[in-house]
Amino acid sequence: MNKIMMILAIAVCFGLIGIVSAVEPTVCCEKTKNNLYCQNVAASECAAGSAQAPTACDSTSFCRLGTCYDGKEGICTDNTPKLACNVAGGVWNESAPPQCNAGCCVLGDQAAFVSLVRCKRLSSLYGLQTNFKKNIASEEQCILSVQNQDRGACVYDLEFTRTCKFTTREECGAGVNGSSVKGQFFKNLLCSAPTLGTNCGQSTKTTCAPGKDEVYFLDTCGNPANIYDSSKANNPEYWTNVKTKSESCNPGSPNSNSVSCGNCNYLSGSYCRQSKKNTGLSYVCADLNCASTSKGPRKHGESWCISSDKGTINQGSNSVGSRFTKHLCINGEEIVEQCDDFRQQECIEDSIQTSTGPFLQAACKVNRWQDCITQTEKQDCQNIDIRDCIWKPGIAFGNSTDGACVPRNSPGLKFWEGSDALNVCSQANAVCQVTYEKGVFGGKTCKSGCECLAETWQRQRSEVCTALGDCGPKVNWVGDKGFKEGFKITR
Amino acid sequence: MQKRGQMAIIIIIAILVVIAVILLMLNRGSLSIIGGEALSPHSYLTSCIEPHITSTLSTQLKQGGAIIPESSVEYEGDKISYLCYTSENYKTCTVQKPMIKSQVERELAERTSEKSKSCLDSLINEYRKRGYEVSSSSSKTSIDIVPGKIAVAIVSPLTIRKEGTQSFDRFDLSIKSEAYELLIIGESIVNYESTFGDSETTDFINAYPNLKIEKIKIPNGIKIYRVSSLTSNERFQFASRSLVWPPGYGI
Repeated sequence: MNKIMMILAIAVCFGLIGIVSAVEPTVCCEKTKNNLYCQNVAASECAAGSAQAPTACDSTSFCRLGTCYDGKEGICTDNTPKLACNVAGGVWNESAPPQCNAGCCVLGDQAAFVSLVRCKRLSSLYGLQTNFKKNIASEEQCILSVQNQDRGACVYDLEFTRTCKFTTREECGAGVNGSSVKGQFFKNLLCSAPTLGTNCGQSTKTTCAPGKDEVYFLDTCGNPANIYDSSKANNPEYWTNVKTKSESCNPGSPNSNSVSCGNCNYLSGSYCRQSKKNTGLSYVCADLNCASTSKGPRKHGESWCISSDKGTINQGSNSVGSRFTKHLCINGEEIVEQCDDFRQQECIEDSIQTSTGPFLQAACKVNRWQDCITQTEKQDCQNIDIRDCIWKPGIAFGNSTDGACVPRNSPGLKFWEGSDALNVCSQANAVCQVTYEKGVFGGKTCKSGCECLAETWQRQRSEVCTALGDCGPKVNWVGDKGFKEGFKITR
Repeated sequence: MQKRGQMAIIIIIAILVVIAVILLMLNRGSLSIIGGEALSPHSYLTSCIEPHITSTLSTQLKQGGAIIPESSVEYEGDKISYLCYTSENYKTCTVQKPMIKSQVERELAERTSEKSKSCLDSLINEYRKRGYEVSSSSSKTSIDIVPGKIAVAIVSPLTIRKEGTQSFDRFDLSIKSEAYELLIIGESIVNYESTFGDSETTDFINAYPNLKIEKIKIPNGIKIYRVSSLTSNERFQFASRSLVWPPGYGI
């Protein structure tokens, strides 16, 4: 065998070599020709007459980002340039003004953690008195504060008629429907209770109540009564006293598509919706679960990862053009959400054990592959707190002799343009020097570098090559091979 | 024979009656009904303006809040405005259209004022045809997008005289729409995009069970968000480009 030298030039180190095209320097442009505000773009992209500076936008006065305050809605939007805010008719501040401080806004039997002005706006939209508690500092506390409010019939006189609204004690005392009319409150009684003597009575109508999962009976005054139960439609007691969810029909069941019981349960996968079937009912507990998905039957809210391509994942050999996708079951429908292109995001999945079985959850997360090849120790390579790499033992690579640290999911590359792909792939170039000793009577013996002659060595170099990105001998995501070999051995 | 003749006459009369009824139904719009029903200006204006508002709003919502998007990306035949954008990589976006609800209201009001005027003129003509004396002055239209509806206020003093006098200062119309919720959720998503570079759609879905929120990723790091109402089938979509990780080392 002749002396063999394998030479693959190491051409680049993190992209320092290879940039040849001239790049126009960028400026901070207050408004571009495309009507975008505060972008770092080439000077030629700036709109005529707009301010510009040869620095990053964060460092300019005209493009500093601040908070845009909407005085009508009471909403604060951060990270907004002054010009954009002024054009929209808002008030711009460099930092969030005191009007943006959130507190607990009580809206009937619900709550929102919003600013005072927002609370006033929401209260007026829903016809309620403003009830803002600035001492409640968290959203969780805010929601808990309204969950145990007394609810019942608020009886009052309107235009010489004794009428009623089903509401909270607080609203009844503060003024019904945001007016100054205060009513008499009867805890845990419905407006249709005969003893109250109001003009509200039983009806066969049903409705969905705001913020509630269930289907409710509606009384003749338009108030929600108890949860719909066909067997109790004419039961006087059922139209008198408030029944809790657990006291209503089938409390442990989602009652999906039930024509007799409207005790829906969002966490079990049912919710009050308008009926689409000809059942004679206006509203039913719609089934939110997915009967059939790419991963069998799934519950509402579950999400899972699908990677349907011809390559493999998590082994440094992803196929060209492949992408991670996250699938969700939402409202009875399977929704597909793609993770970032070029495998710059990967999909991770786990399950939580619940009383009704495992509940899948998935998320797209950033693929931290960039510094894999600089790791020389296995422990550093496999540190999942910092990076997403795998250790390939026994392969000399870079400064490491006992293994190679490569991306767990190889990144995609724009190999059809630019030089970035070439820079990435050429990091897997390797030179191996094989030394022979010539015999006295002819022939030669390999003295060093003999492992490079083995097929194993070629396979290992190929593995490193394919793991770095869209490099080397690969197939695409539908299984078609590339036009070229993907690697070359030169002797 | 006499009976046969009577039968024939009855049948002919019946056929004529049926033909007359059919003709009446076909020409209902053009016939003036003697002693016709009272004209309700409120209902008249609502039926005149509602199709225009519904169609204009639908176009605005489909295009990220603008009838003519200024900075947009094309997706599935629609030009969709950027509500948050950065041209750079590894950085969160800059909000381009804060207070999107207010901007939609303003544009909708501008686009509706001509239509309001023509509907008012048509209403006045209708009254005059019925023998009323009508006096009016210029009108102004404002729009408020609130939970569950679009509140249209047409400020237009109008006096109608015949046997008595009726005066109107303004007409407050109400058109069912879930646009308020869609736009407010959109603003919230933009806040997340500009602060964190992304938003978790399932958080919104859990809090708003009657909404469907889709996040569609298209080339160059652009996301199209679609917020749809499951009850009204309205849809608001907008584009965002934030915290983009370019392929390779991004050089």
